[in-house]
Amino acid sequence: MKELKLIKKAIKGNKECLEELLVIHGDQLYRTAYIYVRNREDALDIVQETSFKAFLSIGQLKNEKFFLTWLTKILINCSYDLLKKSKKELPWNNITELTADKKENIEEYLDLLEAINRLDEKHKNAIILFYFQDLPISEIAKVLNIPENTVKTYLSRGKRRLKKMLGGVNHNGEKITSRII
Amino acid sequence: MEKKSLRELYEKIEVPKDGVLDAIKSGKERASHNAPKNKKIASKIVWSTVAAATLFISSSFISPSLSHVMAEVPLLGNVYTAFNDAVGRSLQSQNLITELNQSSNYKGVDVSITNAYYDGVVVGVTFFVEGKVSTEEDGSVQGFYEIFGGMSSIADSKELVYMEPSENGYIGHIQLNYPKTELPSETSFSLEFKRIGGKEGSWQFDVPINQLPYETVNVDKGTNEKDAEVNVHFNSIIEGKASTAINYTAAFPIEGKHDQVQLEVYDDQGKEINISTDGIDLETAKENNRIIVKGRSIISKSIKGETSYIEVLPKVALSEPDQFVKLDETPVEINAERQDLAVEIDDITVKDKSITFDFQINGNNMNRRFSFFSDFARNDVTLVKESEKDIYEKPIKHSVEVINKDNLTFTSTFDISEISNFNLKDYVIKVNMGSLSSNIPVELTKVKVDLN
Repeated sequence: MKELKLIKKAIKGNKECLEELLVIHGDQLYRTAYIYVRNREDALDIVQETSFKAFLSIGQLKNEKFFLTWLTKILINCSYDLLKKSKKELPWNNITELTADKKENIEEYLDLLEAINRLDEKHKNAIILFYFQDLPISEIAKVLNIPENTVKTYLSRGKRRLKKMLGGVNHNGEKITSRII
Repeated sequence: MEKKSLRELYEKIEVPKDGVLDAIKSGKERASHNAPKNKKIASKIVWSTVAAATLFISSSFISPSLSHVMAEVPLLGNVYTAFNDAVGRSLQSQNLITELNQSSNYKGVDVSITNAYYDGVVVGVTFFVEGKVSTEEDGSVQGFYEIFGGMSSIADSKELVYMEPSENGYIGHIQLNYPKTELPSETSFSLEFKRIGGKEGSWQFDVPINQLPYETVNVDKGTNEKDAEVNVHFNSIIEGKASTAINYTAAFPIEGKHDQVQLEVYDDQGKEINISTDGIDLETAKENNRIIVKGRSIISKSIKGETSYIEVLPKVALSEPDQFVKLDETPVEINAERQDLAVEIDDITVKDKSITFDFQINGNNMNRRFSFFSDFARNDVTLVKESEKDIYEKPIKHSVEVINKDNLTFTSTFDISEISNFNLKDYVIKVNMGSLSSNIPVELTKVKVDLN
């Protein structure tokens, strides 16, 4: 387990190891941030802010098993901080850049991103962490500081909401469901 | 919901690799300027045992000689506790779980169904997996299953499940809500695992379930909201041994086909009773230009004897269509069709390179955080080409400033410098009213239901 060794060294204060870890998880950090802010510049700002805070507080991480949980928690806080900084000019960047060369799912993809962003904040966090960031329910509970059963409730509510927004009923009143969920 | 396809979409978000590396480096540099001196980690020795355990459960399969390390792994007997299933736990303490023994083998992986329960509308199944399977980073095993043949009209008919390491294998747990209006007392349902620990395959079961005795309280009371043209009629309450289900019929106008009911329930002391699952649509039909949804909400405990009545407060998240305003029609007030929500747009200012307008968000019961409204202001009031208003065309670049946080006024400035031959007539302001309405549900009046 190379990563675990890196985490241990990082906790002890080895900055290069922490940097390597952040690079390993860089894509994931960026993508999750992107889902929250939906533009490149802000997502990169969040990655920077998350890295900054990670370097400052890595010494406080008590259990190396929870490195990714801990990092994700910082990332989400940074995402919300940025969204809250209402004075900052928030540009609407070209949302299509993200799928520039893979057009096939673009509409579904935009629908999904839009639908996720229409979710209630707590449901949104649970959905992003479970379905995109791939965290197990027990970890999501730790990241969001809520009981596991609440995570399950949020996931089920969020999912139902997404299904409604993306699927629905056709003109005969029959249910249709989007291909992706 | 299949995680795989969502993950595929996630993987498609293009990562600007250099940008990410730079961002990490900048973060590191900034931290080195104001970092406190590295504190000695006092507790580092304590963690060495944890590290050993982590290393061990992260490897792909378990060597029996090391199994003593996992003294606290969940055992088959306490699966419901390990998976935090309140209904299963309560039924177990009442000895109401049915033991089963069905197994299926595929590619050297054995899956056996160990027990099940069926209380009111809630069904639980536990299973045990043996064989060489690959684990996740945290030692659990991921599986993907389908119930009821994966029918898309049934919620959660295709799902992921995480199994936890146990003695000689992994234990797993699935909870579902019986997806039909009528509840058969003796039945079975199909359960097929299609992927376990990275192995694609087919492990099929027909799980027999017998419903535990329950009582039905007939309700027949309704409540409605005129402007929203929504009504919710409560039909019955099913009082199980360890769970409670509320059955209702909701009616929406045709344009409200995506409306969604959420319930809040209070006991005779006014204390909220937690709903574990709501908005379960059992049947959807179209009758006399109305959408009729038979729905169900579930409480994961028995409330019989706990409270003499319950009060149910239905909230409905309405689906409102997008609205469009021509630029020469400002100032204008855009109202949601079925709810007291509005966006007031002031006169637009047209300059050489930009279009600017102020707007205010108004409405009733808007008890949301400011960040919600600033998100809305940023993402949901945009300038689009009229001919492309219904498709996701690149929105025109814009910036948003907050004028007044308290009365939710904003200024948006759209950059038109890169559009050749910009013509005001070709563009419209798009307001995604649905973003507001779906997050600010309308409340119907409470309905009191006597349980005795």
